[in-house]
Amino acid sequence: MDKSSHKFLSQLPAPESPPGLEDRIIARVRLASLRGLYARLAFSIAGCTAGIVYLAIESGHILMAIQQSAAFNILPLAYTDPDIVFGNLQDTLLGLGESIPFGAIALGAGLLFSTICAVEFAVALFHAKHRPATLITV
Amino acid sequence: MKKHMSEFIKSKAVMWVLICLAGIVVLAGVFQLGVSIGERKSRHFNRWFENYGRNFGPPGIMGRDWRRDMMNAPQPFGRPMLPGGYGVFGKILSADGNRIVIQGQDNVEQSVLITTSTAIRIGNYEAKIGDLKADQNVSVFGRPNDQGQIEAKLIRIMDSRAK
Repeated sequence: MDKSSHKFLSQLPAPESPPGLEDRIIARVRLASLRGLYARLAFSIAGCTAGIVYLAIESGHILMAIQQSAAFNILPLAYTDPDIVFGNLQDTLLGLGESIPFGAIALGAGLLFSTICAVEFAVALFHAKHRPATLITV
Repeated sequence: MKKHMSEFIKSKAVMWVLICLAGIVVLAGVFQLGVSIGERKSRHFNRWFENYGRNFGPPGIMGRDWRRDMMNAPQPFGRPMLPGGYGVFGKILSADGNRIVIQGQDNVEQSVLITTSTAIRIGNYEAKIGDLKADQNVSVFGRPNDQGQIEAKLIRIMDSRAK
């Protein structure tokens, strides 16, 4: 290293971070993570609420669709009369396809998914608030 | 050049394009399946509707006005509940020769045709056409025909007291 470079480098401030910079970065990360968790929790709760409200309004119709579905009658026949049910597999599959209450199943799956997500995010938020260090991995 | 191609094929963009294409193919397949099943169901309902008088007599004769019932029927998820053509499960309203009329769980009558290949069973035993009587609960599995009927492949009598 020549003299001029040495002189130049000696004039620079010491290579230390300003006081409190690390804390400020961690606080920013924590805030961003908390906001993300709150947003996800809000979306999950909104989905869950929407599903429950729809279920409450349409519960009678949905229950009726399930009760009237022939799929739940075809399935036991597969156990009692497998020779005929599996011997006519195409008809069995078409019968199941036309009678399975897909709407009710989709609603149930959506409701279950959003509930699981809401619980998951609520737990993550709880941990994040009580153990800030976990936020780095959230 | 070969190395370039190999890297291109392994790139994330190509992978995502392939995933998207596979997703589109799966969605299109499921959509087509839904359309096909819906079309079959509608066709059976149309034939059931057109042959109602021949299969069941004039509307109202069996104690119900099916037109009014269909109009007033609740429609879960905004879709009308059409009677299925591959099975009916309910009570026998009438048994006449090789044809029985069943009131399904949806309260819609279905005409079931018994052919020589129809298996009629109760418990572990084979039954005869004569064992089918009004007010019995039965499970019918079959295939829709051009007359809006169900050609039965299996009729299982559910009433244990029937035999």
